[in-house]
Amino acid sequence: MAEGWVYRNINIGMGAAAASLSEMLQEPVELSLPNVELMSGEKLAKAMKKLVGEDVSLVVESFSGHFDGDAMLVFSKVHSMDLVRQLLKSEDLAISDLSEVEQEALVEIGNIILNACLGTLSNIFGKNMHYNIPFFTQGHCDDLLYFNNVDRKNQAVLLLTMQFVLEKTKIDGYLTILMDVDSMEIFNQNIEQYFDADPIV
Amino acid sequence: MFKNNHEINLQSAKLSSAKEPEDFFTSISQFQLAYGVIDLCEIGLIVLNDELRVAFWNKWIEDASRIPRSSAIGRKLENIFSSLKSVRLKQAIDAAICFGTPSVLSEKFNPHTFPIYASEPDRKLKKKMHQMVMVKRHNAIDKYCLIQIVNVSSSVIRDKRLKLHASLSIEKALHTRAILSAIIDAVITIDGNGRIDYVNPEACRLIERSSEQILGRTLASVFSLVGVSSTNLQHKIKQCLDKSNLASYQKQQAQLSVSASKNIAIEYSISIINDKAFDAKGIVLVFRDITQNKALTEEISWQASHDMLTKLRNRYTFDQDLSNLVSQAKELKNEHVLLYLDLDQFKIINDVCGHLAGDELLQQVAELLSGLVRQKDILARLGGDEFGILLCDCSIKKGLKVANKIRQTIQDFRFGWKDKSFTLSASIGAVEINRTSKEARKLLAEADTACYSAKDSGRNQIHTYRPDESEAAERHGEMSWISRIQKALDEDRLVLFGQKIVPTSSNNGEEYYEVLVRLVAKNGDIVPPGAFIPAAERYGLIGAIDRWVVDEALKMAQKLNKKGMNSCYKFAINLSGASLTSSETLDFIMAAFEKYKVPYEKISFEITETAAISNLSAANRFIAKIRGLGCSFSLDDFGSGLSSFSYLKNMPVDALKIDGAFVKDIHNDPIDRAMVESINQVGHSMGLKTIAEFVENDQIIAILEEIGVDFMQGYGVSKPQPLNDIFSL
Repeated sequence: MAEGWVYRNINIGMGAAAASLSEMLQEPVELSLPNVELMSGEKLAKAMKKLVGEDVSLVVESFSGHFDGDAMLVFSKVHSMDLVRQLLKSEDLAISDLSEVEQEALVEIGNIILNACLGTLSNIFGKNMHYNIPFFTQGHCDDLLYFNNVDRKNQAVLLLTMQFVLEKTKIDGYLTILMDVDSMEIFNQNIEQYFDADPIV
Repeated sequence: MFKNNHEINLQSAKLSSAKEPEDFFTSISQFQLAYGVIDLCEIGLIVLNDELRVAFWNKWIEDASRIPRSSAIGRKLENIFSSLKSVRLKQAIDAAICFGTPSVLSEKFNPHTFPIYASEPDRKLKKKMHQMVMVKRHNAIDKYCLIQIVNVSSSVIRDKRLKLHASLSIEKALHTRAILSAIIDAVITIDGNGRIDYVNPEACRLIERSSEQILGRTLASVFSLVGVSSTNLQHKIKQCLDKSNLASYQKQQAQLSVSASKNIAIEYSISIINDKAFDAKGIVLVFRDITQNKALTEEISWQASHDMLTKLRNRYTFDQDLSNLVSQAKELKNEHVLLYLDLDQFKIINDVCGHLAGDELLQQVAELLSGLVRQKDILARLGGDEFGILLCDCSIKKGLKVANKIRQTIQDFRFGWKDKSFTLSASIGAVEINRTSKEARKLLAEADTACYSAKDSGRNQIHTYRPDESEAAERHGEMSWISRIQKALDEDRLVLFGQKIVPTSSNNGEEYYEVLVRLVAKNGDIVPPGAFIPAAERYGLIGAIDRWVVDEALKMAQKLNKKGMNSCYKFAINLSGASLTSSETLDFIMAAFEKYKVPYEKISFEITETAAISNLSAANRFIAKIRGLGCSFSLDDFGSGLSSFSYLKNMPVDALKIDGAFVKDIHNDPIDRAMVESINQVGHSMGLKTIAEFVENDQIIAILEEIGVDFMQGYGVSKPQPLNDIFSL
């Protein structure tokens, strides 16, 4: 239920995000959302390792209110650099880490995408939701599940696989929304209510 | 949940708490406290109300914009900053107010969002602040939003520096890469874990794999040395990493196994890549293909040991081979034969047809000889027209048979050059090598002597060495002849001989003498001309000898004239090829005639056919001049290897001396007789007198009479004698 709803709505949000990225970068950027999956936090780490490897770059935007959670955009370390450097037109840089300026740029890109997704949630939950300023971090894949010493193994995760289609390459990114099980239930209930109230969607 | 570093939550200021009267003083102080903190903040804070007008403006933004709070509050941002045109900022504010979603505007994508300056100097320099802008909903007051501005100039500077360093290191890396790609050595580097992390194109080429097939693998899996196990190689690398053994891996040679069927010879070095603290960070392996070097070395050594022209072994190698055989003969008590071969007519062909023909002849003879010896025999060109042959495991008897076969084959051989055909002959000296043999150098000298003796005895012969020829050997050393001839000339130790040339009965001509020169050795021995004339010719002393002979002969003629014996003599004097082209000799001869008042018709000159032909125009000028005075000329050794009738038409001579080689066997050999007949006939038809040399017996005389040759000369007629004796002077 939630997956289908998220897929449809967030896909629309992605279109808007792609449009604002294209405008900002003044070059065509397409965002596609091939897949949405609901899974346990435990499974997420394994899935992520498989998808992006062990070294990951993250843009994290946390939210609270009606329910709490973290929305994360996950790239492999290499892909995050490819993405930023292609967007910043500095791909020949032989630095194996993102500089602060590049990290900020990645945060802005992540922010636009995450907002597109989270804005959809706001449609449902309105002013009851509070979002924090996104930030950049990188590390081992397992660390995804241990921010602020919170063990998310038992949390529920919405994993959205997305693809950046740039002029030169396609870069895979993964959008995850991590919530505790209670939050996920509330999320589901809200979606159902919203769904019932609005037959158009 | 997550608290971002940059986030200042105005909630803590509790603006609303000022409205609570019960705790006014506390509230005032808290408000002031909060206000003070906000103004102390090192980031810009702007609060916009639901009409998007400025509701708050902290000190930082006052300073950076030089717009006081009082004039900012209540105004819209676009009215405060006329140049503010950021669409992203507007979108971010809308998103914050409508959806509550926060936004980050990076400096990279939104350069200088607000037209503000970090400092007064920057303002003067119009260097706008690098900034990161964060927009979020004001949680406490609905529809209000908070804009935070962070000065990120320092990270932009760091970023620029980083990029500069990066581009410099890229340049450096490209530079290094270019060098590594360009050098002719193969280079592979291995990281501390033993994995290949770099391979240059030459290494890929030699290993015959692409860099993708090499990178990331262990060295042993792509670089296998024949005879060195992979563990051994890994061990070497480990030793290098442990620094325990370095020196021994410089310039090692090995066979690199490229595939199951292909190995290449390489030279390789292994060295450590150290970091600044001199800890091993990896290994660099440099290697090169030395297959070509090896081939080159072999080529050079082949060239050093062989004669380039004939591809036979050279003298140096032959000497070694001979030494080996000599010691082998001593050890194994077996016998070998050394042959020393000299081509008799080589010089003629070389002089007449040029060096190209000479070279071609040597090559053909080399090939001819190669076919006459066995695989195990050794054939070498010892220099010039001399060849050395070692007949291994061969008795002298058998060796002489082989030598004769060689002599015969060369005699039968015809050398064609352009439209001419030449016959050849070889003089061969043979020496037995057995357990009593002397050292190699002496054996070679003996063979040389025997060869010389064969030549001296009329060529086209084989002589074995006899110890009594050692004197001849001594004489034969040409180098020593230079000084000996010079000395003999200085000390007047040359002496004139004469050999009578008599008319045959069919001819009514008068007899005369060929003037011959002999050298008197210091011990009084008479040295024949064959021993020193070649050396004199080679070393440029022949002109001097010719002049001596002319002077002496004319002096003699003067004496005879004075004695009234002018009817007793007529001399034929030999002139060398060198004299024919020498104006000095010409002048000398003319002056001598003047000096001694000798009638020109009393003197004739003999020039060899070869000397005349090889300098035809000069010879013709010379002959014309002397002949014009009244002297006559005859061509010596006519028919010796040259088809020279055609030249004869152009040669202003009076007589032909038929080469003795045709004459001495004329009574046995019908071909020789036919040759003599035809030369005689051609000579006569051209109005020339004919003279036969080497007339050794009555049989020959009878045949020559029959053929109708005009004159005869030889031991059968008269032996050479000192001129003084002949004329009793």
